[in-house]
Amino acid sequence: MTLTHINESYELRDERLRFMPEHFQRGVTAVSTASELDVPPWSSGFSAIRTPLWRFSSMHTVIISSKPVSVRISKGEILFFAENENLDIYATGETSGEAIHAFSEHLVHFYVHYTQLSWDRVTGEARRLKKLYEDLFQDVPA
Amino acid sequence: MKITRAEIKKNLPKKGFRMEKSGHHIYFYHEYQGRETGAYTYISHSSKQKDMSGDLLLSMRKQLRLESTREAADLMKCPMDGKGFNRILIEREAFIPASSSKERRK
Repeated sequence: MTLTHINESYELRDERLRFMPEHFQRGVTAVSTASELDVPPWSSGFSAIRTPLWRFSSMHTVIISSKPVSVRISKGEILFFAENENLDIYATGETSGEAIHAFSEHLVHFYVHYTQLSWDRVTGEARRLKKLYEDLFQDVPA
Repeated sequence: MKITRAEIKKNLPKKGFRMEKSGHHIYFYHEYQGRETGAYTYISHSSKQKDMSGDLLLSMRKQLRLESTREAADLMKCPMDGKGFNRILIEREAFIPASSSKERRK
């Protein structure tokens, strides 16, 4: 690569950066490009995104939430994570879609689990979770 | 660090976890004096998933409310017994034992 090529690459990079929206986030997966054209860290260093979900389904049950559930999606060494600390759900999948699907299935499972469990069978964090599932979610016809 | 499905199925029920099969998964719910504490984990029903390591172990560590994968491995393998796990959850305020909560109310 000659000096002219390098300079052209920098000019091209500057031109592309001018079109970069101020709050741009690249998303879950990093897309590698030639280093001289790579965007600066402020636009490419995001390792996780959050997405709101309201409707969750498994094979036989569909539940909806009265408030959006914020699901944090990130990439581990190999697998994707879909998590919500407040609901204590930590799901994994080979793709972000699979992780969200697993998250949804677990949420439905815990909804059924905690709504069927009586109050004298829970303590501490389980008590908090039971209240949360009973207050926030309801099942709807599939 | 690797933990086999067989080790999990064998050891967690001995340490205060109730095993429950549901759909594609086997869930393990931690109980203290007959009450669920909120700590849990699950493994896939499918025998394709033989070992837990890396990302899966990290996820299990969070479900079990532990602070390191070392602790999670100690629980699911051998060194940490049921009492040790209860002590950790109580220290981290995941639940309060019945006798202590009565004392606090007084």
